[in-house]
Amino acid sequence: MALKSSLVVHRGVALMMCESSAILEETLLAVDTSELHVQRLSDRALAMPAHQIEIVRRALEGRGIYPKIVGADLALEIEELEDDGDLAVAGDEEST
Amino acid sequence: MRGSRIERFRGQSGPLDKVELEGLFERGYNTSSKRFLATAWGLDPDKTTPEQLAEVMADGARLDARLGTVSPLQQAALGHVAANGGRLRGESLRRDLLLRGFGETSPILRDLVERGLLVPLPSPGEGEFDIDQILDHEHFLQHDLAVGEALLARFSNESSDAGPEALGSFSGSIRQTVAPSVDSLELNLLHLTSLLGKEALRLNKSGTPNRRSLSRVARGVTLPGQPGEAADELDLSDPIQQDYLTFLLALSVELGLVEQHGHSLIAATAAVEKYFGGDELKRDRALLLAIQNIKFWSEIKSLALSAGRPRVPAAEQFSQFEATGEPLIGARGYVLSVLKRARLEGWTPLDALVTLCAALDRSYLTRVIARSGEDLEPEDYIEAVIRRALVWMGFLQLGESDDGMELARFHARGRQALGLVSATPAPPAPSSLAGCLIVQPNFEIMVFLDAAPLEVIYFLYRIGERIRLSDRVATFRLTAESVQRGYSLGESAANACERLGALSHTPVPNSVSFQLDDWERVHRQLRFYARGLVLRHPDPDRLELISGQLQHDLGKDGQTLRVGPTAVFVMTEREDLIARLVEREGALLVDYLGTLPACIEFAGPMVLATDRLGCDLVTSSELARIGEELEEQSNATTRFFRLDVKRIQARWSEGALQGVLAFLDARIAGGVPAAQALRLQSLLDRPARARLLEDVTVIVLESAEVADRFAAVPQCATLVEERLGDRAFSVYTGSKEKLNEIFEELGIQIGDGDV
Repeated sequence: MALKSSLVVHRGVALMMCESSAILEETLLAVDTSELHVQRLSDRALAMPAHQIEIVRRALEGRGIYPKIVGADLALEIEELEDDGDLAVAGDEEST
Repeated sequence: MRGSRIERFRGQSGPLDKVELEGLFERGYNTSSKRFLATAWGLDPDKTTPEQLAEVMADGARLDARLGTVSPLQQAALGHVAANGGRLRGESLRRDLLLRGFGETSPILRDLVERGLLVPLPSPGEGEFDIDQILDHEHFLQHDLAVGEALLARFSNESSDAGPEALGSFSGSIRQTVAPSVDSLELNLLHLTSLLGKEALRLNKSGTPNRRSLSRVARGVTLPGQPGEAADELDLSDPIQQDYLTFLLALSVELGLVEQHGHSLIAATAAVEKYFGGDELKRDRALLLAIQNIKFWSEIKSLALSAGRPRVPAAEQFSQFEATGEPLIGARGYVLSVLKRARLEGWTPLDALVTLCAALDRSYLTRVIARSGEDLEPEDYIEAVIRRALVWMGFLQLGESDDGMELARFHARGRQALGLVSATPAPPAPSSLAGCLIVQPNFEIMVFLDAAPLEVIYFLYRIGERIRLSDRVATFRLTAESVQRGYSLGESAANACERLGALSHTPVPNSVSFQLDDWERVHRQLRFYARGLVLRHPDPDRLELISGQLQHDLGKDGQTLRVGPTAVFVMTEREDLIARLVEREGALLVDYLGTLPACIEFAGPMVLATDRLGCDLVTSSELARIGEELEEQSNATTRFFRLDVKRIQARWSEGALQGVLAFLDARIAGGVPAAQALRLQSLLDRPARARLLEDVTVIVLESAEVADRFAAVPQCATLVEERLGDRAFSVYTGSKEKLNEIFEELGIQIGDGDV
C-alpha cells in the first residue's frame, strides 16, 4: 500500500501524554477503550480523534484523575433532562 | 465710550455690573424693561437711571430684606446661578435644578425675575428687549439670567453640586430598608458561574430553566434581603425568587460569563477569569453596561410579579429565549444617564428621583416605553428601574427617614459605576489581607467575607468548592476534584500553598500542604492536548526537518512536540499553514472532521493491507477489532490483517455482513472487490448457491411481452424448466418435439438468426 508522499498529516487529533510508560499503562487500564479509536504513538503518548478526548477525560475523572488540559475548553457533560414544566406563577396561564 | 459699552454686554459672562447695566439701558432694553426693573427694585419707573438701579442692587441691607422673602428653593436657584459665575441660560438653570432633584422650577424662577433678583438679558446684538413680553410669552428661560454683583458675593460659597438635601426637606436618622450590595451580587455571580463551569443548566423547550437543574445551582445563591445562602429557603414556586434567579442568569449572559448552547447555559471559563480577575472599576463599568443592555429579563415584568401588584403570565419573563428586556434598553439607558448627570450625593427622596427622571425628557421616555409594547406611565417604569434593576444590582440603597419619607442613595460602587467618583480606591495591600481566612486540617477553609476581596474568593472557588455560606463567613472544602480542576485552570500546588499561607490566620496545616503537592503529582502525570495535528513520516530525520520548518512558520501561534521517532504532535489550528504544509510536502491529509481517505487494500482472501503511518486512527483501531494482525507479514511500512469471522460478528452483532461491507466499502478505493464480497457473504451469512443444468435448450423470444404471453400458456408452462430473463426460457432437450408442436399451434416461427 504505497502512498504518493511519505508525510501523513492527521488533523483534528487529541494527544494524551503521560509522565511515564507505566502511567500510560495504568491509564489504559482505567479507561474502557473498546469503543474508542486510540493509537499509541510511543510508550508515553496516545492519539485519538479530538472529539473522543472528552470520553477519556470523564472516565479518568470518575477515577479521581484530573489531567492537565492544554489548548481548549472542553465541553461539559450535559445531563439529558425532560421538560419539567415551566417556571410559572401558580395559577397563571399554562405556558406553551 | 458708547461703542465699548455696547460691546461689553455682547457675549458677557459673570454677574450683571454697573457698566453692563448702563449699556443695556442705552441700547438693549426698551422702555418697558427699564420700567420693569425700576419697579421691581422699588424705584420710580419714569426717572430711574442705570446708575441708580445698580446702586440699589448693590445695597446690602435692601438685598438681605429681599432675600428674606424668597423660599429656600429660590435661594438654592440663586445659589446655583452664583456658583456658575453669576449668569446662566434659563433652560440650563431649570435643567440643572431638575437634575439635582429640585423638581420643576419654572414658576419660582419666574418669581425671581419678577422680584428683580434674576435679570433677563437680551441676546448679543438684540435691541428693544422687552422683559414684560418674554414673561407674558413664557420665553424668559430662553435667555441668559444674571444676578447682581452683590448677590453673587452673598452666594459665593454655594456649591453647584448641592442637591435637594440642601433644602433641609428631611433630617434626623435614616433607616436603611433595602441594602443589597454589589459585593453580594458578585458573590452570587461567582457562585453561579462556578457551578455552571462544572455542570450545565438545562433549559426547557420554552427557555425556562429546568427546575431540577436550577435547584442544584440556586441553593447557594443569596436571595435579596436575606443573609446567607438560600439553601432550604429556596422555593422555585415563589415568583420573586424565580425572578431574581432569572435576573442573575440574564446578567451573567449579558456579562459574557455564561453562554447559551442550545438548551443549556454553560459558564465561559475565559470570560469568568477575565471578569473576576479584573479590578473593581472595570467590573463596575461592566456591570453598568450589562444592566443597561440586559435582554433576557425585564424590570417591568419583574416589578409586576411582586406582591400587591397585578400578576402577569410569568413563563415569558423566566425564559432565556425571550428577550423581554431588549426593547427597554433605550429607556434604561435614559434613566441611568439622568441619574448620572444628577450627581446625587447622600440620601435623596425617592419621589424626587422619579420626578427628575420623568421630567427631563418625558416625551422620549413615553415613546420608548410605548415602542416596547408596555402600557405604563414613565413614573412607573422609572420606579421599576430603581426598585428592581438598580437595587438588585446593589447600585442603589433604599431607606426611610424618621418622618416616613422613602429615600434612596447610591452605594459607593454604584457611584463608581456611573463615573461619579474621580479616584478609585486602591486595592488592598496583600499584607492587609492576612487573616481573612483560616485553613483547617480537615481541608475546610473559612473565609471572612468582609475582609476578603473578590479575587481571594475567586481563588478559593478555583481550587475548592463552597459548602456553606452564612451572613459573613463562607466555607470552602478542598477535594481531589476541586484542587485538580484548579490545577487544570493554571493553579499550582506551590502557588496555592503560598497564597493560602499568606491569607490564613494560622499556618497552613502540613496535611493540607502535603495533599496539595500529592494531588499535583497525580495531576502532572497526565497532560491532554485538546486538538492539533499529528505528523507521521517513516524517516525520523526528514520528520525533524519538516517539524522544524513548521515550528518556524508557526512562531508563537503553536508548538510542536516530538512524541516518537515517526510522530510529531503540532498544537495549531492555522488553516493557511496546514494547507501550505500539505502542498509543500505533497502530504496525505487525514481530517477527522471530514471524509477519511481510502487506506485499505485486499492483499489476499480475507487478508487486508494498510499503510502503517497513513492509516487513520479509526480504521486502524477497527481493523484490530475485526481481524488479527499478521505480525510476520507486517513490515515497517505496511500492516497486514486477517479478517476474523467471529470478531466481525462480535463487532456487528446484528447485520455482521452489512456492517463489515459498509466499513470496508468506505475505505477501499472502488469498494470491496466482488470476489471478496462473495467470500464474506459465504462466511458471514450463508454460501451463495448454484445449480447445474444439463441437456437443456434455450428459447429466446422476440420481446418481453411475447415471452410473458408464452409463459402464461398452460402447455408451455409445463415444459419450461426456468425463465432466464425477460425473453429467454430453458427447457429440457427431451421436450423439444412437443415444444415445436406448441410453437406451430401458437404460430411462433423459429429462426436461426437474431430474434
